[in-house]
Amino acid sequence: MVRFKKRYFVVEFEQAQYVNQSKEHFDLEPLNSKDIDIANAVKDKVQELHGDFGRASISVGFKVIYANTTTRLVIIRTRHGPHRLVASALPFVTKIRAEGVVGQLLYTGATIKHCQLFMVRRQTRQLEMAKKWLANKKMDQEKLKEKIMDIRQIDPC
Amino acid sequence: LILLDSLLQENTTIFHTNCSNFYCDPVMIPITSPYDLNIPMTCSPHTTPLVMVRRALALGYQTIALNTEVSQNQFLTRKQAKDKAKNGDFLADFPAPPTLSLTSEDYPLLASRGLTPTILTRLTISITNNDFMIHYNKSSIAKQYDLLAINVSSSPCLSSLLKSSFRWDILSFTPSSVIGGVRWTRKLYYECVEKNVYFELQYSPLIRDSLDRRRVISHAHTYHSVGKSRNIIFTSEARSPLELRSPADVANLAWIMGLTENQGKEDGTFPD
Repeated sequence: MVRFKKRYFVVEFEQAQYVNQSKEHFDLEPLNSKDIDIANAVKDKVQELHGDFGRASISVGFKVIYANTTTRLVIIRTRHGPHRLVASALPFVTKIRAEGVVGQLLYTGATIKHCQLFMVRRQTRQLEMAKKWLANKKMDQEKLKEKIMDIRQIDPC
Repeated sequence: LILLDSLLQENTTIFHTNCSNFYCDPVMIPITSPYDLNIPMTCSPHTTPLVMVRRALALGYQTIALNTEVSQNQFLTRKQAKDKAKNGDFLADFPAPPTLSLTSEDYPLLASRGLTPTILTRLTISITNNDFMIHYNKSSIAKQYDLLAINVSSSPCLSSLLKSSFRWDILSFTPSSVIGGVRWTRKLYYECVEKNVYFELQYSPLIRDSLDRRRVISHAHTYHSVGKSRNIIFTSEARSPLELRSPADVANLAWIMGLTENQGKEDGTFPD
């Protein structure tokens, strides 16, 4: 039985306005876009770089979901093979729905399980940083934990 | 000049010799990857080099080189200095290497692992003929830089540079000089490789402009067909913090530039 191999990219998008600033910050604002907007932005970039061939070859099995909206964590699923086209286009994505962003590829995995492990570990670290950073403001600890540790699952197929 | 060769291949310490005369003053500098060897000092007016360095360190780079760019026609020959009718910004001597003081708050990621970043200084000279060596050899400030890069625009220029016994670390190019520029042949490429010169491919022109993107990619493919992409390093040349990308992303970019996945990882990023 031939298996359809996939690659899952875990990407974090940072808002351009915060990257440009020089002071320390911890950003808990979600981007003003949905899953589809990010998918379109990536597909457009692949079209720009690799042409119609690129766009067509990644479209089967291509899925983008927001794993966590608060920390702007995204999972992108592609087939193994065309995944390189997507991976090479990710650094070039600078705008999602007219909002300037900088993407950072955190992890590439072949199974959802390992992506999940990575994300859980990362979100716990982000939670600690958030607690330290927002210690001045009165933030509800429970709500913060809920918001950051809520990781949405991507369908396996 | 640091021998860039040893910087990239050995993951330990290297010797830093201060001048090409017989008297050398070895200083140990720790090397760590991932490294980004081109952060220009002349960045966009909205930002400062310190902001860029902080962003690069936050993205995961450990060794960074601050780049000062000069051009050969900024230096006057004795004959030109006599005709005082010349206008323009001319330099009497090379600018001093920039110093940047960082506290451990600037690199929280590295500090939590108990490491400090290595900040190097790099000088890039755009040359048209070998006369720049007169100014370079005279100047003691120029030799204080850790890395030396040469930006060539034509083949005769490059071949005459190779014939002289001048040693430098990095060979770079500007996207606009790709079409009428150096005609690369395997022989020329390997002559540079033998001199331990590394070829620089910058990735921020790819992000900035579509025309530059095509030129840089075609140049990178030339390097691949002519030299099997040996001795290549990826650098950012980022004019603003938005143009910096993390080491993993740069390794993926290497694939467009004609390298295999493994080469991409080695040439400037993780020793994965």
